[in-house]
Amino acid sequence: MAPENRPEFNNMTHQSYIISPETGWILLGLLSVLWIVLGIYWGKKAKSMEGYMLAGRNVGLAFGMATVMATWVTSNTTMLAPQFALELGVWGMLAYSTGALGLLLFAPLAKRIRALMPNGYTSGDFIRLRYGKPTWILFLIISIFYGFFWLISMGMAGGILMNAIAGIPYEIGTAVILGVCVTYTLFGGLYAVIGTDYIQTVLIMIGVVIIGIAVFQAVDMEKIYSTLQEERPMLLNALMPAALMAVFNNLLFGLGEVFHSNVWWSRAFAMRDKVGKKAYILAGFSWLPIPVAAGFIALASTSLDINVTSPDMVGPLVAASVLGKAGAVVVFMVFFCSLASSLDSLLASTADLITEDIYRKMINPSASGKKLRKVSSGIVIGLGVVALLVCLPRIGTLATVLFFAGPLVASTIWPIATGLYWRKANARGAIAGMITGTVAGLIAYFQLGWYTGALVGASVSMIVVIVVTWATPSSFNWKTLHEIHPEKISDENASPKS
Amino acid sequence: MFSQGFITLIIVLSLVLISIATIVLLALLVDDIKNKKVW
Repeated sequence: MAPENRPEFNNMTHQSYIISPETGWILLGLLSVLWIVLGIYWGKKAKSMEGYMLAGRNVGLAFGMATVMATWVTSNTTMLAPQFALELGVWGMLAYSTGALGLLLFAPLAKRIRALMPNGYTSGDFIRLRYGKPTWILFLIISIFYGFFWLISMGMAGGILMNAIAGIPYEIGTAVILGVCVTYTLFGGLYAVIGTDYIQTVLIMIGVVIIGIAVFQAVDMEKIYSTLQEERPMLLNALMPAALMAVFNNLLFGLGEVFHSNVWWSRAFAMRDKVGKKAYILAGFSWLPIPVAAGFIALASTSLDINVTSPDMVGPLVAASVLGKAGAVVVFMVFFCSLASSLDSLLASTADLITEDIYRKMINPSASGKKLRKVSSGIVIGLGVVALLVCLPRIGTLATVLFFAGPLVASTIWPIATGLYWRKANARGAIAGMITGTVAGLIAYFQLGWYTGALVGASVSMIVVIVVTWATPSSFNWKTLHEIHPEKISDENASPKS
Repeated sequence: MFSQGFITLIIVLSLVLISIATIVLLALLVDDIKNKKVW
């Protein structure tokens, strides 16, 4: 019997779970143990703070490409891309794909970052050395605020998924997934994050292809198209203003996310010399088709007679309905991997940012590597606990949670890009760009709609940064960025001279 | 209005691209292991 004709899958809602809670718990347990064991195993390589935070700065192309891919294939891709398609149609899924440009355009920046800052640790290091303390503090506020919002959206997604797929209570699902990621990040640092990212990427990609083919087999394209034409023709509209706006908004939001976030900077620092640029380009092209495949799943929902009660759940519901109970394992795995791969990266890079930029630079500059590692571990645990507490009252859909940060991150694109390439760029332009971009973007977010926040924020910031820099140019010495970490200095002093 | 042909094309193309990316990723790891450049 074709899946769409099976009675158990018709009119599927959140109340009819895809797999039994027992099966859900077994899968959750197996995957959790696997990630924790692998995390502890890889974590043994982290002998120093540089090893723990940056995986020894020796990550090869395969792991480099996979970790960029896995981190960008967040639960937002697997849950929000279908939501985009369901609300904004074909343009919606194409809009989500523009997120790949963030990775592709960051590729040359990754090379430049490695060249300008061979001893760098965080994106905060760059802003501090390039623009000075006031800009650095403003940047940290934006970056940590964004990182925390992303973390919350991931934690929420974990709880929603566990509940929808296996009937595991939302609160417990959120706690378990956050707990697992905190545990293996704590023990293994970036080694654990990158190692597990590779396996998670392969599983996600195989899973997405399996689900895509299954949907094709369950409902033919002609039926999907004709159903859409009859029931929701606007989803096929090539000139839908809100969707067209979302294309540019998502593109700029993606750029802002990648350009400023320490998640991506830490990978640029962690990869071997000459690997970063290739890894980001390969990952960008590999990620590009995923939102289209995920969006297609949502478009098929109208033909499958699925009752979607929450738009961010359309992906898992459709995937599970066409794959049947046995295939639900694939669904569970894909979503669990996409969540874990982003949560671990976010925990590690946010903890790095707080440890390096706040604790070491502002509170205890003479802290030893051992002390920093201890502080970093405490911050990972703290982030997990606070994120859990904020996640518990489910505050909105994933889109509303995430896109609120859009104007903030979009306002950092130009200060970062001009700071890396334009000697004349200065703190005045960077601060003015970030403040005006954020304010204008937030006004647009509330007055016009979520799909305009990043677009307005980035545009205003661009104009302000360029005008202020042009009016008050300075001449930056690139060598200022060659700062050596105290731990590195003590290592060099300790090692015998040849 | 997007045509059925266009939508089918981008979906098939995306599934093919993801499959190729998976193979590339596995091949790169084999290469890195051979050259001892995994980490």
